[in-house]
Amino acid sequence: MIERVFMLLILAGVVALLLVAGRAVIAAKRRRALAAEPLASAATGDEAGRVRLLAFSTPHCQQCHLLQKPALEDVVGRNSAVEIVPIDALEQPELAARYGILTVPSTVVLTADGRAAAVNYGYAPAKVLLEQIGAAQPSLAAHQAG
Amino acid sequence: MSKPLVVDTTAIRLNQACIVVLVALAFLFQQPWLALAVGVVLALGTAVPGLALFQQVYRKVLQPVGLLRARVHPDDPAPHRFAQGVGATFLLAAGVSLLAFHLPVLGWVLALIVVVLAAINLFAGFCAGCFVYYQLGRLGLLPPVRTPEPVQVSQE
Repeated sequence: MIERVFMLLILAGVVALLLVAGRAVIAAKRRRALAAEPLASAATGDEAGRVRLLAFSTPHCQQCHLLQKPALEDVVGRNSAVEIVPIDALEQPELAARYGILTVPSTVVLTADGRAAAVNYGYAPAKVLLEQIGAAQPSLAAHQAG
Repeated sequence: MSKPLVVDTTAIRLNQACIVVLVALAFLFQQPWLALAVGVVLALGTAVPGLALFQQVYRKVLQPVGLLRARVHPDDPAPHRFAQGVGATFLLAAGVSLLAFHLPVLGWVLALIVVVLAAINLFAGFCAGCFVYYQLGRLGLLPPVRTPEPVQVSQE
């Protein structure tokens, strides 16, 4: 009995370790993404001087189309000053690697000068994105409705 | 009109919690019948969703009394059902190994694999069975994941 309790505890420890290690890897990736070189607006074919929201997806990504896309439409509806840049992560692997994208949907908020201000791996609700966009360029917060 | 494709994540998480607790107890007290019973429950729930015991307890008891709240998202339930079927297969194989062939190491390793994968899904939200389903769908070996109609989404 004692040895089985011990084995279960070891198993729980391994699972906990895997979860902690996974989170540490994601945190390190996010730090590297935030420290990435600024992305020129020409690289995404957008107007200079605007906050951009890079939205990484793939054609087969369920969450991208069902959850993230409506959230992005909500963001644009409430903040017309932000430029949404849809990116197929499979077609632009360099850009995905630059921000450590391993999962879709992922979103990256870029300041007007192209610095990464926030990186979200996985679905990000509109409320979170609007806060991050507001923080990326506080003057834009005035444009937000609601 | 077809039924909207939605997934209640609370029901799925309760399912995973039941698997983790019951199979861990089965191992702890060396009760292969309990592991086999969980496998049968999962197999029945996979074949006929209305017979999913843990989800019925959630819908008929825990949800009505307000202990748990539904979190419904538009999603294809098929990958989750596939994952449950994989868990059922492992647990049934574990039960047969333990009871019919008296192979305790193989049987409990199979059962504990299910515990670990269910715990990872429960605590980290990574569904290994769904991942396999998506990959098999991309290869054309399983039906592709269906796109549900837009429905009211509960945002966390």
